[in-house]
Amino acid sequence: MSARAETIALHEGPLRLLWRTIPGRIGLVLVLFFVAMAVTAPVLSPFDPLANDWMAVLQPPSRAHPLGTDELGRDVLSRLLWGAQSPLVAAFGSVAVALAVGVPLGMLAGYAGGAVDAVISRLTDTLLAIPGIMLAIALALFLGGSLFNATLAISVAAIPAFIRLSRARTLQVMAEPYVEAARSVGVRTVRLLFVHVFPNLVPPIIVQATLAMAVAVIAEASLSFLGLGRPPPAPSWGSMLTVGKDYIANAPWLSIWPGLCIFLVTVGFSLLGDGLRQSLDRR
Amino acid sequence: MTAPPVLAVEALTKTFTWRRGLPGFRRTHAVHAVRDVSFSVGKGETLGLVGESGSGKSTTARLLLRLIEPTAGSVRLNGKDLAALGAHELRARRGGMQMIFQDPFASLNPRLTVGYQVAEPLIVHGIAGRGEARARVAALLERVGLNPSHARSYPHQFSGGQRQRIAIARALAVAPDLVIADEAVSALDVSVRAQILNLLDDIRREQQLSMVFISHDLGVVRHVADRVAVMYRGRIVETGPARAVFHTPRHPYTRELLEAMPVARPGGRGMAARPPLEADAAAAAGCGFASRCPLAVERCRSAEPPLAPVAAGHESACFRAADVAPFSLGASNVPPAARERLRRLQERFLAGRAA
Amino acid sequence: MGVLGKIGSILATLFLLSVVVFSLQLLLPGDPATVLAGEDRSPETIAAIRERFGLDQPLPVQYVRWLGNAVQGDLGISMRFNQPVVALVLSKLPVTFQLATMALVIAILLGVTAGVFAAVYRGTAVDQTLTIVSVAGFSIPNFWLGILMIMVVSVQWGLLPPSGYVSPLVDPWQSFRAMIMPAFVLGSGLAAILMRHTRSAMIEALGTDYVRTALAKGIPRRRIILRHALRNALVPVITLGALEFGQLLGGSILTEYVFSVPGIGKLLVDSVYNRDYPVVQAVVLCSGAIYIALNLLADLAHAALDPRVRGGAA
Repeated sequence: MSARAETIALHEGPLRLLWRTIPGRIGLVLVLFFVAMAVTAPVLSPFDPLANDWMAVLQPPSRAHPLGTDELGRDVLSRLLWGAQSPLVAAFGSVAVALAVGVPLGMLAGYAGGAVDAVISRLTDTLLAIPGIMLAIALALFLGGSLFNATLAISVAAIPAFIRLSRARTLQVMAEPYVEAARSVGVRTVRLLFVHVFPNLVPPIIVQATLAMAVAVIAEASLSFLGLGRPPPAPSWGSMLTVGKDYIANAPWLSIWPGLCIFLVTVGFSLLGDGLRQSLDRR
Repeated sequence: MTAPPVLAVEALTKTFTWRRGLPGFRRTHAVHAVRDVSFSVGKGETLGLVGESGSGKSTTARLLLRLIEPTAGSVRLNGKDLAALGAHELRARRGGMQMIFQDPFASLNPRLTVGYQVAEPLIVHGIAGRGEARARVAALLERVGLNPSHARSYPHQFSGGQRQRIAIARALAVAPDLVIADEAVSALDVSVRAQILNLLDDIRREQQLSMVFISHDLGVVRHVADRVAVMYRGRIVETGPARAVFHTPRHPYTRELLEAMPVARPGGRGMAARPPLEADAAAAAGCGFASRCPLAVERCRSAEPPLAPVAAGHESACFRAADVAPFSLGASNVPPAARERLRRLQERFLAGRAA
Repeated sequence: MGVLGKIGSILATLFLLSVVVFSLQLLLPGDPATVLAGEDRSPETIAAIRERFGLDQPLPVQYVRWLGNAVQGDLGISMRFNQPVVALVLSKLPVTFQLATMALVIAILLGVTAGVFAAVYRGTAVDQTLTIVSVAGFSIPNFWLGILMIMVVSVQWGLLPPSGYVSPLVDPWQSFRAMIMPAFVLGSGLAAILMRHTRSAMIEALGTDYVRTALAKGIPRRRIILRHALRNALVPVITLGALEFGQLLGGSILTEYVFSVPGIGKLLVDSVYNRDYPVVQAVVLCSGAIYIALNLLADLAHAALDPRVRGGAA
């Protein structure tokens, strides 16, 4: 894939880029929808998500409770709306950290080469040998269950992929004539990396970032499902499924909606990534 | 010339070595990319460096700019030996020498504006701040024949010829003493080539700029060079005033290159099909060209001919320099009617810029 | 690089892996001895634990001690089951292996077939549907899919058991019935990825001059697809498949938990619930080692296959 073609395409605004492709359009709509859900939950939520109602335990969907109630009588819809916060915070937060740590390390490895590269690459390979979700679970377990720790654990699991991508791309860019030309003009290392190399890393990293967000959503849901995310009684889609799992037969609504939300957000981020890749490819 | 030449290269050598194999069984491979190259360029003079791919001319260009380190030899810019400079001073000196690269599509960063890339040398060398740089960039763009408003555009919005103009503007930004053009027009359409060459010529004359013009295309070199140096397998095999070298070549390789030029020449032979120059396959004694040379004799295979003068300011590394036939465009199988036209073509060609 | 170099490289990675696994326990908040003691808070137990694990020694010494034990096959005792951890993990491994193998087979069958169809009918409704399905495939959380399948297949239709495990050596048919759902759930994500890769590889293979000439010569389409294009398209898929086996290990965690399959995935989850730290460490170490071993195999296979393919076949 021509590196140059990608960077040319990026001169248009990223949003316009996304809107041009069908997957990008759908993905954008989905993600924005759920972000809106998370932001407006305090306003739109009909009930207090933490309010137990012993009179209305395990109610199927009704007019009062459109999505039913859970084992403590809490309104599922409200918990669903509030539950959007955890996965989205984890997605954006973990990817932000992974970018902040992974990209510079990858660039350093690609640029410096030699021993520095060897050490960084070896560490990266080692971390990549552990399945991502397993690493996240282990880290979240040892760190302790909280949204912050879960986000941290997920970001650590995501960092190696970004290091690898940045490193490969940096090596590719460094081989391009314009880097040599800049050197011949007299540009020094720091300026070279920030001004010349880094902007050419952006396109593939953006695509990778959206996919990492998709993975992060599932990872946060998995961690919450195991009780390693935001501690109860705070609502989170994953922890709602923990309960739902035990009531598959008598209260299927407890499992369907939270899972569907996780699914749709993940699809949204995946399609965003697809859309970005398509529109960058086209040029 | 009593002042030191703008560029003085002496015994420049670059050998690439690498090791392959397991420890204990390691074998060292070496490629002598550039061997004992010496030349000089005076103020306002253009030196044409000619050779086929693999001859070492691009490596030489990079050695001049210290983009790679020489194994031996020295490069002096305005008398100052670049090897003796520390990193800081070297960077400052780099401003004295700039390069124009072959691929106009790849030598400009696609993510940065044209204006920034032309201004960058000024900023990096502290010659001008952001504000003043803008004015200078505008002037430079105009000088190379582009609209100054183009500074805000990106490289991909320009054609190949225009991009090369931008590259020239960038090279001229710091008012260098010497410009190295490495195959600067090879990637351009023939029609655009002339424009770029004329532009380079104008600027050269205006600013008394010295230039090292590297190319595999003799026809192009003829247009621009005052002096010519021919490289083969890392060595200079012939050097002299352009007109002399083209009219009376004194090295069989030079003659072969001349024969291969795609000039309007019915019955032209073209270069004998050859395998590309491999890395140091036969580093045996003797002239590197001996295996392909129509004039080769025993002596050529046992000793390497040194670069020796054959006429005023004209040197050749060949034992049989005197036997090399002069070059003419005409050939015996040309119909008489065309012969006169060819003769006139030849005259005009050899007169070059002087015409 | 040479065999020696490769072995050295693997040893280095394994060594680093052990450091990572060991470092996990450093993250535990509070006094590790207290944490390891669990519910037994008596000072004697805590002191005994500190003594046993050498927790008052400097870190590098602790690590060397741990590593020394690990190399001899001793990774500690499970606090929950009171068994040596290594034996515990090894006993669960075959079950996960069976699950992962079934999942891989399903993934390849579904993914490659779908990819071929999508490539052959490129641009049509078939292709678009399959592409949408593949996005859904790797976006769907496996534990949710598992719950949904249990809901429909076990509870509503009563076709397959929702949980329980039978060894294939004891009753292959029941074993199959118990494992087919979790294997499908586990393999679905990988199937989606394989489908996309196969599709693009096939499209590329179908576009080659060889295929176009064959079509022009009148060779029936199906033969071309099956014999030539597919073979070429499978090479990257197979290499990917070997590495993705490691990813299956990750997916098996929640899948085994939801379906109560007694493999190392479920062991991991149980240990998380029980705060059985040594077991968690052992599972992580084991998974990493398996992945490294598979990588090595893939490299060797590649080296073995490649020159032969290049030299011998058309």
